[in-house]
Amino acid sequence: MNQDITITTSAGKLYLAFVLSGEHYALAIECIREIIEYDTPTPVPMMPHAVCGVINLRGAVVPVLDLSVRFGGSPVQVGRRSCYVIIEVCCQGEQHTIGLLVDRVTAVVDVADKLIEPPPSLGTKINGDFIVGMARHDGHFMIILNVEKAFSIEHMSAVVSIHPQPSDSMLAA
Amino acid sequence: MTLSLTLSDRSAGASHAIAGELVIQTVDEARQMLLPILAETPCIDLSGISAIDTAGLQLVLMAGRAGIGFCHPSPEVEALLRFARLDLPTLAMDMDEKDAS
Amino acid sequence: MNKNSLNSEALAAGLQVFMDESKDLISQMENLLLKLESGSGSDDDISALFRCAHTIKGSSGMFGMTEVERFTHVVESVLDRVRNHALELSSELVSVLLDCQDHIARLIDQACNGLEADTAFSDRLIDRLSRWLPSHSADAKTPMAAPETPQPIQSASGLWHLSLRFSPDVMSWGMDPLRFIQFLEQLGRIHHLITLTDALPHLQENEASSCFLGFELSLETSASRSDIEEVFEFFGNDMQLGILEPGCPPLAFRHLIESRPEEEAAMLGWLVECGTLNEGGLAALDAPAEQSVATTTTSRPAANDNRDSRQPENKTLKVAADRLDSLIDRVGELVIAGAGNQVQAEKTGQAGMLEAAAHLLALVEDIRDMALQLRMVAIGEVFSRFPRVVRDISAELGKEIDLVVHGAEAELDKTMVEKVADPLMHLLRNAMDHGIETADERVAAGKPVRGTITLKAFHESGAIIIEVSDDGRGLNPDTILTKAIEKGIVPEGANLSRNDINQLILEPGFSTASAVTNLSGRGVGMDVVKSNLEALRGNLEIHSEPGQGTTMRLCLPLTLAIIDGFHVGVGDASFIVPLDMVVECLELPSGMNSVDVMEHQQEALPIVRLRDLFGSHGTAHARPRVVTIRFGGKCIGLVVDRIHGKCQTVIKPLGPLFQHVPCVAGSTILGDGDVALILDVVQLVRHVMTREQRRHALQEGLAA
Repeated sequence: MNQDITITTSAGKLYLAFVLSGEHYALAIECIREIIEYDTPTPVPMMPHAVCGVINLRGAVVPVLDLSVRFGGSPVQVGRRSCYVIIEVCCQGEQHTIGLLVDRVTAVVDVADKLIEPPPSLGTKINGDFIVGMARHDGHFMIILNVEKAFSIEHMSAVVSIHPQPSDSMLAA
Repeated sequence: MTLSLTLSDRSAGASHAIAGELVIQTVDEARQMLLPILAETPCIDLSGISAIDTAGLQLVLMAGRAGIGFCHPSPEVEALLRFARLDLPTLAMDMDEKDAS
Repeated sequence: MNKNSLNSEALAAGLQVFMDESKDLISQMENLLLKLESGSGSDDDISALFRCAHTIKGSSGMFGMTEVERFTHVVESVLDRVRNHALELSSELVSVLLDCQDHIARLIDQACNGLEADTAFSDRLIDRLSRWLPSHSADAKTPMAAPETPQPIQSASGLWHLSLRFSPDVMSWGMDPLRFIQFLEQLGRIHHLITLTDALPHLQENEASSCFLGFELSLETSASRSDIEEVFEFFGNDMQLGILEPGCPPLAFRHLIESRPEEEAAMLGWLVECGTLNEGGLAALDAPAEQSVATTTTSRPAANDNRDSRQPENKTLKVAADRLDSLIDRVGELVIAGAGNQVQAEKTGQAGMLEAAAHLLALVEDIRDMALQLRMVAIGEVFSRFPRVVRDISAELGKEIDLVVHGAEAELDKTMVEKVADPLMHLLRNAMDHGIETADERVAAGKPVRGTITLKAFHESGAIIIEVSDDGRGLNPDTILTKAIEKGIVPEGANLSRNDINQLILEPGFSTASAVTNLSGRGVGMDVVKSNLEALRGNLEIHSEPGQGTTMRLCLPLTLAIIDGFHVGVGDASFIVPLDMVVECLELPSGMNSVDVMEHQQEALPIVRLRDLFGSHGTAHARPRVVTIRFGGKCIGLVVDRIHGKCQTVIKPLGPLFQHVPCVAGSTILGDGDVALILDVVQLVRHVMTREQRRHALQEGLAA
């Protein structure tokens, strides 16, 4: 089915490019459902900081992630062009919808497979497993993310259960 | 569900053989196999048919009308024909007799 | 090939009907067997039992499940002998038949899932059955044994005539006409059959998967019209079934002939060829039709009318569960939208607008209740599997136990029914294993030898109560208390009421069985049962009278889809507390910033500051409120910033990402479109308590 969606023009596959804390990223377009305006999420207590909370997406309650925190950085500063990229990921055989908070969406770009370079073993802050590769676009490198790995619900929910809960800090008080 | 059409030695009385399950899931495939060889007035060996249902029987009848002959029915084919009180379509010679009657 | 996948889809649909029906039949068999074994069955029940096996055999054959057909055939033969009083239905035979019934279910399951049939097991069961069969029937062990006709043929009953035409699509839907016609041989003997091939298209012209064949046949049988119609029931409206009874009036013939597209002369020829119509009859047909009045025997477009005439009482409609779920989802949305609408109307302050909005919301809420009603099923669906369990386990334990069921008709949500089955099963096993004494002990205690377990369900104020009671030895409070102290569940010298002591067996790490049997001791304790029930927002209580018996009382909400909620605010976020847990709202006395207990009505009320617990940001209230909640006999105060009041809450699951989050049970969308989280108060309190314990341990460690 995915092959139907990816329009294989002369060059290659389509990717959605976006910016997050100054870095350029891209996601294969077939996992993207829509892009919606930023709205304050409802925080879910006792979740790691990478989970901003949940939003109401036309009647469905959808979790949203702060990608910057997920990749080990500081939280995204919400600005005028901040938005949610809504993606679909597979978990235990079921499709689930999650939102990604990003600084701004830049373009849909066409990248040929042969122009994608393997992820560098050193030099990225991000866990190498999360990356498909790097590609040059518009004079800068962008990091192409592996949706399966970077947003694996199994992995993230496991993180929840072992994550030191923020509220534990009050124990010291 | 597998079905295969193979060429065989005319001397055994058949020009081709169909083997496998001649059932609803495979009849369209079988039809596609038979259409190109229609002109050869083939005689098809059915001894390798392991299962046959109404759809399979119907295909045999349709093929018979189109001039295809059948021979050596497997026990499964024979049993269903007997139940339906039908004869196996054989080669053109007999067909003409039937048409005439 | 596209067509192939279409076919298999349609085939799956036909198969689904068969699976549902066979499941029903198998559970009917089980109930009948148990009823007959208890001695309360009648000859009608034996016949019903036979028919179940007979129908399963027939339909499985039609779907090409040869192993199911072969095996069920043997079972059917045994049941036939029971039906004809050639065989007594002993308890031993019932046991084997119950195993057979399980095996049939397994075989069907294997066939439907494309798995290899367990023929070895079939053969073992057939061996066990063979002692109830005349010796020659053992040949059934070879596959596809010639089906023996269950009923003697009464040639005197004359010939039936059947005229069958099929919709072109039936074969792609997985129904094989000849298979069904072959099944008629179970009812009698096919005297003659004509396969109509005139409608066959040319090989080049048409797809081969449409059905073009028609059939005319005569049948010698003592079966009834409805028996014959039943054979073709699967086809529904997709076939034309004309049936002429033996000796039916000429008018019936006329009707049949006229209803067929073929030439009258051809039809007459076939009728004669089949032997249904003789020369005399042919002459009678030419006589004026007015003499005949019997319009009742006319052939009809079969299935449609048949269903109406045969089962006038059965006015139910089968709907796929997921379609129902999406309807209920959508109605839930509607309620939210209605509430939003009302909020907007309130802002306008126009009386007419407000009234209209309120009216709309009331209607929508009615629809929601009706939609939820659609998912309600009787708890009996779960109860019905227990007689068998009790029978098998009591045999295993060597105890004699009766099961009495009350209130099987009480309804609750389908999802609840599925989830409550396991915990109930466990309670039942527990009662049999630990509750009911051995026969010797019972006699010594002056009780009847047979123990009784009562399963009772009833509705009480918007919830369903299920009680599992036994008349066994009851709980011994002293033993429990000693053991609880031993295991460190309660501190030594704790002053507990007898009722409190009884609840201790639900605590983690407690097990009363001195000898762990293979039943209750299967690694799952009562605490797991309890927490499973709490996950369903239910609770479990134990009442026991030493020497008299124990009652385990289970209280569950009727549905998991909607709760009456109490809406509170903490920081910028909204939370919902289940309303039935809320006792009252208080103001937090000032100057209590660092204390975890407040005084209320001369009692110490432990409090949990949600703001701190959740690390919330946003505007705090100068005078925080305390919502007092009660559960499991305890009260606890939740300190919140704001109280918004009651609201009806449609529960939205939060998805797997949040599966490990303690204290949040789900989410909901408020009237203004904001998301609120539903608090799982039980988990929340447990979480706080473990944290407290850790803190104490830490402090002690520091002090040391």
